[in-house]
Amino acid sequence: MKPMQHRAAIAAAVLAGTIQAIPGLDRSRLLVFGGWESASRGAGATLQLVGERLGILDQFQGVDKLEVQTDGSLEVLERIEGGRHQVSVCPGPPALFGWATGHLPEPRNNPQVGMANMRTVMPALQRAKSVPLTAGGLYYLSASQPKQQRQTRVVKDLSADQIAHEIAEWMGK
Amino acid sequence: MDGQVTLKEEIETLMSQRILFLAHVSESGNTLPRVSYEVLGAALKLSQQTGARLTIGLIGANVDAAAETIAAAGADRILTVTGPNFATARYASDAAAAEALCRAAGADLILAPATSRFMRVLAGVAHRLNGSVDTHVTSLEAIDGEVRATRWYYRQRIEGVIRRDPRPWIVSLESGCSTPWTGAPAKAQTEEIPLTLPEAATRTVVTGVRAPKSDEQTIRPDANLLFVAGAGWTKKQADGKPHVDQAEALILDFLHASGASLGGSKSLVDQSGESQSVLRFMTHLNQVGQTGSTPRHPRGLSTCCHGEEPHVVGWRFINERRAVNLDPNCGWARGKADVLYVADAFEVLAKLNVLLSERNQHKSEPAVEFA
Repeated sequence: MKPMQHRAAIAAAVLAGTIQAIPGLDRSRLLVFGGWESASRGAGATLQLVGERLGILDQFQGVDKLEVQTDGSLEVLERIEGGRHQVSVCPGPPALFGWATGHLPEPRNNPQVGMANMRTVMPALQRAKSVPLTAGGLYYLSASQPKQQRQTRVVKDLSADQIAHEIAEWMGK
Repeated sequence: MDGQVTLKEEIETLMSQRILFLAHVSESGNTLPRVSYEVLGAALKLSQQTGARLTIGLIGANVDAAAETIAAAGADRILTVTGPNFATARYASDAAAAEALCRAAGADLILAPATSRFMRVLAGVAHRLNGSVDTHVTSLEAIDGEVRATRWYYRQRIEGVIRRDPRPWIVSLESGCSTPWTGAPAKAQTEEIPLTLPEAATRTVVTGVRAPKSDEQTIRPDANLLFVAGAGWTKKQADGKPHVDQAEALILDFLHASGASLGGSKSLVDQSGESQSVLRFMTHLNQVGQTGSTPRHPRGLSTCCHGEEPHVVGWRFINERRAVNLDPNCGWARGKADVLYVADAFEVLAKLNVLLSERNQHKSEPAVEFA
């Protein structure tokens, strides 16, 4: 059992420090964009911590849409329960946006665009700082994969009508 | 002997602990979100296990009615941060309110519901308190004097149990994982925590909520059934042609008659970007699975959907699962569903809609009212 520090906190500290170190950055005009939740933990914590470290009070998470209004303000749509969006208006920077899926469809696969992006992404990754993960009082006591294996009843010989009746009965239980 | 002393010390330490149950009022303003009562149930259970003292903290424009719904829970104190500035879900004001309540309660462990409103502020609050945070926790228990939290990692593929030393420890609990606390409303003795927001914390204004039109409302977190549509609905059928319009009508009729919530596979919701036929009411918000949501409905019915692992991820917390599709060897047959019906989902759903419609007529009202 090894203690581990909160990784989101470590990542946020490094990210915030890197942003602060950008030469000539006007923090009063800063808009920070990042992913809302990771695929590994989905904690939704890192960007909040980055915002706190940068002193950004206007934070938005689960953002699907951002529109600049005619007066320069930002209209932000954040995901809330029930497939709905909360609409907020922020007068402008500084602000932070944890992006969800957005409202645009996934772009078509285009290897040329991908290669063009890699020309800047790969050198940046090679310059990434290594960060020691120091002990911070987090203990993983156990980790297990779900063992649930269902005994599936495969029904091949019922008519659509019979299946509908069976499903309706199941739904009504 | 040393072990006994250590255990005694641990128990004494736990006895002096404080647990804060943190909640905000619901959108209606006169109660708490449903998941909050589940978290209160978990907080009470944990406080009984550890002997810790329970404090309640409430945020909202006016929390009087909501406080009455939980006044009989037996908390030592009910602290509140109230006022017009705390009516809506805004990061700056909610973080300040939660921070003030946590400091006033002096709690070691802070339990909060995993609502969208709290999920966007709790990590920031933990930073301000120099504490730690864990989100999406599904259960908490005290074993041998230590509080352990269970949560899922890697999109519901691994279940982990953790504990943390740093305090305060903020934990947001998922819905559908604890028995909700119930009790009769009573007059609540509340303590207002004064909080004045700086001007910078009120720059953002919440202007409202944008919801799908009532006849397009397809996501219902509280529904008894999750209906998942796969890409097969938009593919060529037995006559060699796609029947997307028919698929849309069948699915919407089913949602209307059953009151089910609609989920979709990634391949289906992505089709709009690939110039393929699409179900017009299906958006990324409906997507379940690896890059979508992991809903917690008691039952799930999958149709025209052949994915295995991505859907197992999305269906991890669906208790009873049935599937309808034409492939008897698809992933659902491999121990993922309780029942797999090998049949044409178009035909089955058409018949099912007739049955549900007849049933609703007997009940004299549809499962879902549309405007």
